[in-house]
Amino acid sequence: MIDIQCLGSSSAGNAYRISDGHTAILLEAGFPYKSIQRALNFRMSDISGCLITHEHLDHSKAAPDIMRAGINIYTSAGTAAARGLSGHRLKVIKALEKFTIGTWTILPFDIQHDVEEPLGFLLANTAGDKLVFLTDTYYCRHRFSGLTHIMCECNYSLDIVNERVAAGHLHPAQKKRLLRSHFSLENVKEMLKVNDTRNVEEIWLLHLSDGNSDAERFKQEIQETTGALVRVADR
Amino acid sequence: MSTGNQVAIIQKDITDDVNRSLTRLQDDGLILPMNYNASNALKSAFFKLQEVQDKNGKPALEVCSRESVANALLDMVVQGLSPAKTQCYFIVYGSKLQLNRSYFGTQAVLKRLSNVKDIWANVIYKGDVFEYEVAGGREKLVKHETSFENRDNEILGVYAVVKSVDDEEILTVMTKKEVDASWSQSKTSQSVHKKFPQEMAKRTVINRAAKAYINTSDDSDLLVDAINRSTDNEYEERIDVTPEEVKAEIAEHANREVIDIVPEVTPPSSKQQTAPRTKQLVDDPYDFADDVPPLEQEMDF
Repeated sequence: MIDIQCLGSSSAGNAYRISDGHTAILLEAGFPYKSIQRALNFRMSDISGCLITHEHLDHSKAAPDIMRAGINIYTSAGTAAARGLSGHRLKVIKALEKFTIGTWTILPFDIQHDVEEPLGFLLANTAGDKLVFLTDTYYCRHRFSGLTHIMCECNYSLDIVNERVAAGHLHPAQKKRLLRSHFSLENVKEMLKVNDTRNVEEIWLLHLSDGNSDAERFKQEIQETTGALVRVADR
Repeated sequence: MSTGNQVAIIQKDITDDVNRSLTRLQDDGLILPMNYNASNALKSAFFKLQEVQDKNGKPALEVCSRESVANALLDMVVQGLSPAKTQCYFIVYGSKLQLNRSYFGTQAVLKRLSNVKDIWANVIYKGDVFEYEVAGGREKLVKHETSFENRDNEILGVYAVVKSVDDEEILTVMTKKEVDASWSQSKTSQSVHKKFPQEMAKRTVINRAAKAYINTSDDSDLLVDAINRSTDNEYEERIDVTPEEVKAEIAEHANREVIDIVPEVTPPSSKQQTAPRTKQLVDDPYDFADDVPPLEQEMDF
């Protein structure tokens, strides 16, 4: 059983606390440190480590302060360089090289986003939990087995985007960047179809775009595709 | 009985529409194949249409607009296609009926063009010997040797040959990668492509080969427009297509290799926890310690 707490999931900022009851981890640090502190009731010392996918500020804003607070940051060399991170609290990780934090065994993997060296994460523990964290990517090269939890970006739907371009609310250049940076509902469904979702207890849809998504419809369609419990990370 | 009557009325109305349009098109210069009987084709089409359903299982004639049915049937007749020969079939998209050609149909329409005598396609399997050359700027087949055993091997590519009325043979080759990129543009989920890859690959290369001939032929624009409309029906409309390289990249790379981890066992507990037990054991000559759970640290007075 994994406890997932969403601190925020949008272009304004992203952060999630996950815990298996023994080891709590912060996924992303996309808010000012004080905001994260407040959201976690000032119990930052409970956090055993922080994983960061890439250098955009809505994912890495608090990284320097988190390190100063004595918590290790785990991220790629590319992300660290882009954000100017260094020091003994920085733990540089690489795609497909696993490491452990407390009870968690973690495998980073490459994802597709327009940044230096973005990563997704596969986390597992001996209790049988297995969680994949996939955000800010337009597709995933990999497949996973035996997942119990999926936290996946579901940013836009192509028909909504096309509608807005036709109506002049979205510039075609923005659409083009979107197609190469973020996960569409259609691609998420395709990914879920080819992965083994029989053991999945919970699916979190992350990073829904304000204008290009429809939370209720996305939730409905993913539930139909997988039969699993689906939550939409609002805020 | 009332349902049968309704279908008959619909059939008569639409058939009349199609026949009127056809007459007008023939006045404008459209020529139908010599042995083609439009009436028979329309009757056959309605027979097929009664079996066509949308994705919710509703009959096509109930959900589709009358104009889209009439237009699909007109495209069928203009191209001289016969549903009885499985040259074409009808698919419901939302509330519209669209005509799609099978590759028999594409071969049939190509043979109607005044500059084409014949067209055929073959699949290249792993283990085949396949050689072609570029002679005078055109691709030509030199050799394709295969054996029965190779038919279950991996498909490496596919080619089509068009024989012109001058008996010149022009080759069109597609690699497996090109075929896959083409399939990713398809509106369907590609389930039929996975089941019948050889036939679908032939179909793809015939459509590719046909394009050059169709759009440069001297034949009536009415015919060429109808042919191209049916080909386009298989693909998402241009405005909805994501940039081709993105779609192709995703089709090629997404959801491929399985990665997994075996969680590592938690390291043994620290020495601090061991010490209290050791101490208890020393003071516990009768070995009662196991009967009483250790006190929580918080309760240490």
